[in-house]
Amino acid sequence: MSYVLEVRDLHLRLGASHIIKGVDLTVGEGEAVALFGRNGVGKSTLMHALMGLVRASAGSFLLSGEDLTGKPIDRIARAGLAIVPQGRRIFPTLTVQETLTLGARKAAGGWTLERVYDLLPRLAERRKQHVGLMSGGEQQMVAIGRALLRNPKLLLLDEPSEGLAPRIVGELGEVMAALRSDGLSILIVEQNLELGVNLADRVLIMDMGRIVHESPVQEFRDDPSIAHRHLGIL
Amino acid sequence: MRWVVRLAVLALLMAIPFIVNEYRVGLVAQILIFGLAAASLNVLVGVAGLPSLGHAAFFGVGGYAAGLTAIHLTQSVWVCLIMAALVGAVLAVPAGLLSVRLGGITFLMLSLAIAEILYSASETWRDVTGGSDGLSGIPSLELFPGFALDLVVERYYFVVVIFAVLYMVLRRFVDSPTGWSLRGVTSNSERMASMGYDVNRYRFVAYVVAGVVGAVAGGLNVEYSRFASPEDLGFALSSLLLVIVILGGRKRLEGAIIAAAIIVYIRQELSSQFNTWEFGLGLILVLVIYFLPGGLSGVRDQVVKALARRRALRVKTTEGGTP
Repeated sequence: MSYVLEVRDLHLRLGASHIIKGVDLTVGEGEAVALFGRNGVGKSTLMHALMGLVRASAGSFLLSGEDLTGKPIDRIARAGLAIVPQGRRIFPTLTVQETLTLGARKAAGGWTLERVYDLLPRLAERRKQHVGLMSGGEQQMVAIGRALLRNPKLLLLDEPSEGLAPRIVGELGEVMAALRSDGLSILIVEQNLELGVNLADRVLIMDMGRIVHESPVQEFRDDPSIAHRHLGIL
Repeated sequence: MRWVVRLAVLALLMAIPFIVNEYRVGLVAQILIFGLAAASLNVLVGVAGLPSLGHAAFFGVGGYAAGLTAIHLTQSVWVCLIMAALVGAVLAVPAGLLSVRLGGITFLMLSLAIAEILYSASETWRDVTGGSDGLSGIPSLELFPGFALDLVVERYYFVVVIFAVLYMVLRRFVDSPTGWSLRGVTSNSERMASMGYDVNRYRFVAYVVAGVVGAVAGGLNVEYSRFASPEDLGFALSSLLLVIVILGGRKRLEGAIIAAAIIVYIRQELSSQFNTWEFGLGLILVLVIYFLPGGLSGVRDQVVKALARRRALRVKTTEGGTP
């Protein structure tokens, strides 16, 4: 299998704290990988390092074989990495359609505004509404649509279910399942294990800045002691 | 509606020489010239979020370029203004490459430093610039060979036309996708970058556009006044332009013109009567910053918002059925 994302021995220090201590991880073409871990183990920092928001101290990461270590954010974004950031990070004064088209990038056979509206019909109804006035779940859908229109090689989802009502999380799961069956490569960081497990082919668990567990999703599902040991879940 | 207002303003400017005396015509020309310079600074400060304390550098350099071209090369006003624009660009490209990636206070200090270097150069390089005496002996410029812009009215109309054209250029730039992307960059540069926008390239484009238009405004000033001096590059003018932008409101281009009108008017009218017009200006600025954070042009937005709030409140009370 060829890899979309290859992270090799990535380290990140912020001041005196060594936050990421040598992470190796891969995401294959069309694969969905879920990254779990308790609060403060470095999951989001890892996402930020991949996006170029913080600079890794050592190690490297490659997107479809292209070394993007230490490259500026926009360069990484144009290379084909799109993030749905934690807390969504939308411009509240823009409308739905403006937000979606803001970073849009054409690709043959890729995502278009029409396809995004087909996937997320609620956004089509509200295309002229200001995003800041929408519910958290709707904003999350806008953030996903915006990332899709970048036509990324890899989609990073940083805790997409955070702060959403359970019913909305269910809808979110359906949308992500549709993306996966469409063949999109996905790396998702989640606290909601069910959402992550339903989506992913493979599960990684991070603790204290290291990947401490890696297995196919079936193994994780079948052996509850894994989650118990690493995540403290009974 | 927009075009109605624009054409009405243009018609008013065209009628000015028939309404007021020659001295006042000159005042309006100054308003337009400084308004254009302030509007170009507004693109930098308000749209691109780069606070500059050295915008007079472009104004002055454009002025010297136009003046020296007129003395040594040709009296064609078109060539003079094109030279002003070119020299503005020659300054803006390296200065922009050097400074836009810094942003914030560092950008501010560097803009000041660049302007001060040029200021002292213009004072020292007497052979070319005339030093602190200024560049005098600039001939009347010619609209086309044989037709010199001699009369105040002729020079005034030329200023109006160039002002109108360049104001529309700035307007188009600000409303273009690039302009809106710049607002996004100003609002949150990391967010724009993570959508694939090269933040510094957008800032650089805004810097060059502002610099070139600022330089042409300086050239226009020389066309009108036939004089250039180190003052045109100086800190006093830079800060005055920034004051105009803040007074007018950073968010709106037309604010710079309105504020330029007020400031040029009180400077001319009051400085002959009171020596301390700067005191009055400072007081106005404090009051505006305190009570009108969006500047003069922000007043309309505030009124619109207040009305919308009242309407929303009324709708809510009628819907709720309680008084």
